[in-house]
Amino acid sequence: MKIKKALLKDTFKEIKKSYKRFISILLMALLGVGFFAGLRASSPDMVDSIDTYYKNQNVYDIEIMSTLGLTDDDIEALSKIENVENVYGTYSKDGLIKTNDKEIVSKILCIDDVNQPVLIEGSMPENIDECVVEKNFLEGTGKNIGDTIAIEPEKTEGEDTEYLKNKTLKIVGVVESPLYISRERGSTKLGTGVINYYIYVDKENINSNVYTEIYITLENRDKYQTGSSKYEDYVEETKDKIEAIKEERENARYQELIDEANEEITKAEEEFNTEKQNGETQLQEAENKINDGKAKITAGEAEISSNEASAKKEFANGEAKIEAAKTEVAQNALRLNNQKIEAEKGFEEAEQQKSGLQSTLDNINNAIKITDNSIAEKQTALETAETEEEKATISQEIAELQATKQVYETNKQSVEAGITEIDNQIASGKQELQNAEAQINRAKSEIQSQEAALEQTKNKTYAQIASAKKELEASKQEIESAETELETARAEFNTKIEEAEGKLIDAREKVSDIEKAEWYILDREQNAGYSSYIQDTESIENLSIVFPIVFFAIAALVSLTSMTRMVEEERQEIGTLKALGYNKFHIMLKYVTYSSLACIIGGVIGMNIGFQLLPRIIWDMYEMMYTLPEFIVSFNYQYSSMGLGLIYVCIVGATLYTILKEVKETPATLLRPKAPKYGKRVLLERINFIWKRLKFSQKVTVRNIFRYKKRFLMTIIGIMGCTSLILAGFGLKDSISSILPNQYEDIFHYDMLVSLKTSLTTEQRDSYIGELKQKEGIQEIVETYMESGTARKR
Amino acid sequence: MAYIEFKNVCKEYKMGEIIIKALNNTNFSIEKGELVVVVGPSGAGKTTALNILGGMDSVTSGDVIVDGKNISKLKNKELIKYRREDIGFVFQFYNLVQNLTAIENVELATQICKDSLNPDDVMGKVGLADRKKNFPSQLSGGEQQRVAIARAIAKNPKLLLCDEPTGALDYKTGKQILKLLQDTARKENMTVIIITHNAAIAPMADKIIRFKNGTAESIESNQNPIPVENIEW
Ligand SMILES: Nc1ncnc2c1ncn2[C@@H]1O[C@H](COP(=O)(O)OP(=O)(O)OP(=O)(O)O)[C@@H](O)[C@H]1O
Ligand SMILES: [Mg+2]
Repeated sequence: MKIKKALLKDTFKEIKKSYKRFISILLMALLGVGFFAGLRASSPDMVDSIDTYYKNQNVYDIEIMSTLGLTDDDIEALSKIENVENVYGTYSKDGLIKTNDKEIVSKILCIDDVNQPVLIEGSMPENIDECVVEKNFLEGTGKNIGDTIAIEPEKTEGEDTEYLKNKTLKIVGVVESPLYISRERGSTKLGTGVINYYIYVDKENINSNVYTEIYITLENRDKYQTGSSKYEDYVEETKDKIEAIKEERENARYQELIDEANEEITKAEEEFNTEKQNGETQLQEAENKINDGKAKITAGEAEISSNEASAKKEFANGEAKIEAAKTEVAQNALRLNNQKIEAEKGFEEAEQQKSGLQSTLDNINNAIKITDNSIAEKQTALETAETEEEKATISQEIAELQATKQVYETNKQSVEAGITEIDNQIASGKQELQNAEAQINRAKSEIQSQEAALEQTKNKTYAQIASAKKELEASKQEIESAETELETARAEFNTKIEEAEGKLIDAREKVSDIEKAEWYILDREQNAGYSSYIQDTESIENLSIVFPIVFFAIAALVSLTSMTRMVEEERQEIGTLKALGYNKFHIMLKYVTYSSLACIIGGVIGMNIGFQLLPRIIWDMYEMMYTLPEFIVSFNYQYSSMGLGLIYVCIVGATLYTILKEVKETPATLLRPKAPKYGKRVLLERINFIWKRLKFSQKVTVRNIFRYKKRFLMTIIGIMGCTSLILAGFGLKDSISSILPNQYEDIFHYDMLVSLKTSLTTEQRDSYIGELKQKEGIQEIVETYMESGTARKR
Repeated sequence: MAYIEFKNVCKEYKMGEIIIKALNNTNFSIEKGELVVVVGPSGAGKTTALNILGGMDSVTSGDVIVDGKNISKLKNKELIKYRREDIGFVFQFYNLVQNLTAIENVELATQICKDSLNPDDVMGKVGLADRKKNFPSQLSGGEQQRVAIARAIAKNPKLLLCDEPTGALDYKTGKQILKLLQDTARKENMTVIIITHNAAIAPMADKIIRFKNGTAESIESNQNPIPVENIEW
């Protein structure tokens, strides 16, 4: 169908003429499309912003945590899974930081290729003594870049290695973490139970043999937008694949730990056993020694006693011998005495003999003497004799005398011999006696000496025995003490062994207590910030569906009224055109062009404003809750065309509705002024006493209400929509502002909250609370207990 | 067979319960090239008859034959074509499109016709060659009516239907308009039907149809039509 130039001209002239109407429709389209497109785009823009952010920072798609930590083997196994592009093992732990007066809990993350934080200020940590923090950290602690902090990582039970190699860290920069886009930092076992901030340290600073988290990025993930169902399906699909190896990996890790522990136990056991063996042998040796000593003592004792016995016996023998000798000696002495007595007698006899002999001898001697004298006298006489015969007579006489004397002499000699003999006999007897006596005495002395010797030996022996006994006693005591020592040593050893055994048992129990590893396969949904962000985008999306409906409805109504007016005003012209031979399409085209132009111009302006403005306004509100480096606003063709299409349908639809009704009429009818709807009598007219009182204009109004029901309805709907929009705004404001008093006056009654250390004793606590109660301005103190827990969906 | 024939045409309007018989068994015929003046009292059904003849209204019963075509039986599309090509209509209140200049108003008609006349020529014919660029609001009533006539003539229609073309005009201007119509009818050999309340101008017509109570009461042929300028009233 050829568009007629003149008609087109008419259309544009029409726009110029009725520009107010045109603009009103245009504005409706602008508002409608702007609101629709802007609101609808807000959610995708927010998603787009986080998507870009997450892609730029290489944020994980799947996160794996395990109750027993994760290993390089796990990484390798995961790398082999389809769709998995990169697998990163990384660490995180909670830590306590003490600043001037506060104790804050911070999540310690490490810089990695995955989930890279965005550097806002300063520089990234390059050494193990450097760290970067979030902006709030600086604000909250009053620290600045360049300051140092001391951090104490959480200690896991049974682990004694330090998690951080360097716990004094210098703040070198400020970052934003894609993992913490909301204020939510999670909970912890430390401090107040709430994590206040996060900090990033160099990966080198971490000292851990297992990874706490494994982050996985997927292949081709750039094709998907985060949060989209395609992305979620893709992630879910991969998660299922991971799920398939999960148990194997869990068991492997469990087995590994068990093996490790068992190995250690075996080692400990071996050590224990050797130690036990050693101890036991040592003890045994000591015991043996003691036993040896004891045996020796017993032997010694036996020896001593046998020695003693033999000595005693010997001594007894010796004594007996001595006694025997003594008796013999005594007998001998007695015999000797008897002999002595006899010998005395013999001696007396001999003495008598002797005295007889003596007297004989004396006689002899006298005789000799007389002879001698006689000789001497003869000799003298001889000498004197001067004659030889005299002399010879004298000499004969002398010789006779000499012979007599000789006889005498011989007698004397025999007597003397007898005497001598007797003397000899006596002497020999005496000698004999003496000898015997001497012998006895000798024997006696011998016996005495023997006795003395015996006594000596006895004494010596007994002394020896005594000393031996003493020695034995000493060694006995020694042994006894050694025994007690051994006993204590044994007891000690036993307790030690028991202890060690207990430990071993404990260790074994612990091994059996090692719970099976459990993997948690998570995705971004489980990230508090991310999921609430996505949820918020969803609620915005829901909002963006409801709100524009009102706008569209109003746009439709406004354009319906405007276009109805316009068509009515141009009834004559329509009739003329029809009379001239224009068909209804020509005529409709004018109005459709008119409203389309208003619609499209308004819509295009609206979407351009809307796409820029509304997402930013909405983001402005959400920016308080989320930290994103950049909010991306983009022109969304889908929503723009959708919004434009919808508003087009509304406005042009309304136009078509009015024009179609009109254009159907015959030119004759159109050229006549529109027959006003014949006024019906309304119900009110029948109630005479009211009707009577009404002024003329009021009567017209009442009739018109029923006459032009469409207009009336449209007015009602229009006012209704606008009122509801305004009211919704006020309602929102009102309900939001009532949340605060609700929360902090009706639900929370407290003004101040003090968390106490669990390590405080009851007295300390009570005294502190007592102190608090004394403070001015404190009305009431309620003590309570708080614990954070995790609820998990089954 | 006459060029235009109204056979037992009835037209009823329903106003709620009431049925108004605007035409009641109307019969008349007009020859090609005739200048017809239709007169009659108000409410007699003149406009209704003319509308039906111009294809702008339907009949309740009866036949309207124009140039051998039964237009009462035409389909909507054919009716539009009929209006577009066969009919030129001049209204009492000119019904010019206010947004368009005089010449554009004429073009509005010519642009949809097959063998239309040159708008500029027609404007010249109606004596408004130098007012072509004026908007209707800038023209006097007579000038506007001339534009309306130009618009009707420019289509080069078989039938020129004028419903009280001078109703809103002063005597002199009315005369000018009527002259224009008479001249056109004569020159172009166009069948022209003029409705008027002014019975005095009846002598200018070839045929005078008098309406009364929905019927053509009398049809009278005038063998010697008098030029309008000679008629005084
Ligand atoms: N659209 C309509 N609806 C209802 N009645 C109508 C309509 N058109 C015409 N009529 C009625 O039909 C009758 C004939 O009307 P028409 O307009 O043909 O009269 P007319 O002869 O042209 O009168 P006038 O000289 O006053 O113009 C009138 O009674 C009028 O009320
Ligand atoms: Mg009339």
